[in-house]
Amino acid sequence: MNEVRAALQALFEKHGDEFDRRIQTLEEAVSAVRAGALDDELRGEANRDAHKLVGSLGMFGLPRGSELARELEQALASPGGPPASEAPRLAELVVALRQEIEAPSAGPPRPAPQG
Amino acid sequence: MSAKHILLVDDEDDIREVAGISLEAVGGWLVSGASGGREGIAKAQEERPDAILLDVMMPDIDGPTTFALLQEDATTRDIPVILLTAKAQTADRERFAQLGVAGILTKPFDPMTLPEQVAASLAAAASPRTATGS
Repeated sequence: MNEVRAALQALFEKHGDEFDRRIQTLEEAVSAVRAGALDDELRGEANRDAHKLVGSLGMFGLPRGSELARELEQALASPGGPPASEAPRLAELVVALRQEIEAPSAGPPRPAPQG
Repeated sequence: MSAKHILLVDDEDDIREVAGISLEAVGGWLVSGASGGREGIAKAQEERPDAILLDVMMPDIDGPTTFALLQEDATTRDIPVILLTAKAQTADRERFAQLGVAGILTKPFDPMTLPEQVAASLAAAASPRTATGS
């Protein structure tokens, strides 16, 4: 199983830039919500990125990340997007999501030491 | 005995890669992959896998449409298909269940238990149904 865990850790690191890009899109969308300027193109892109994070993060040992991403996905699901009054809550979700991914312990359980 | 072959159809590289490692290293499957519905159909026709793990949300054609097209083709209609979805709503899952797929698995999945979940879905789909009421 150690080989599997090592392979999963390598994949988590390989795809780190993609996770970061998706969170950046969510940050942009939340800024636009706060400004009352979220257009449907950015809302849709952020909704799709949140959906992808839901599917990915939990399999890398970050179930809390998947839950946070699901809340964001649902908030960004409807045409028109959330009202500006929702911006503080959404901003907290995105900050928490970034913290989950950037935590030193983030990623799959490490392989057990040999010997 | 040779390993059974499963085709993974998902547009997300990380999910295909993790599922591939899981099913090969933990489950002992022979794994191939496709990054979209059209490629998945072509590979299913060419490779005739023993099972297909099919993502629901994909940009070219979605999972349910891909499944319908596989059902229309005599060379692929008997291959059991398991849908993989991050949609959590009950209504979505009920709609998928009515399609006639072999199973529905939820993302995110645990790579250490995915092979067990796939095996359980395939076994349940293959087992003869108990006749009731006659």
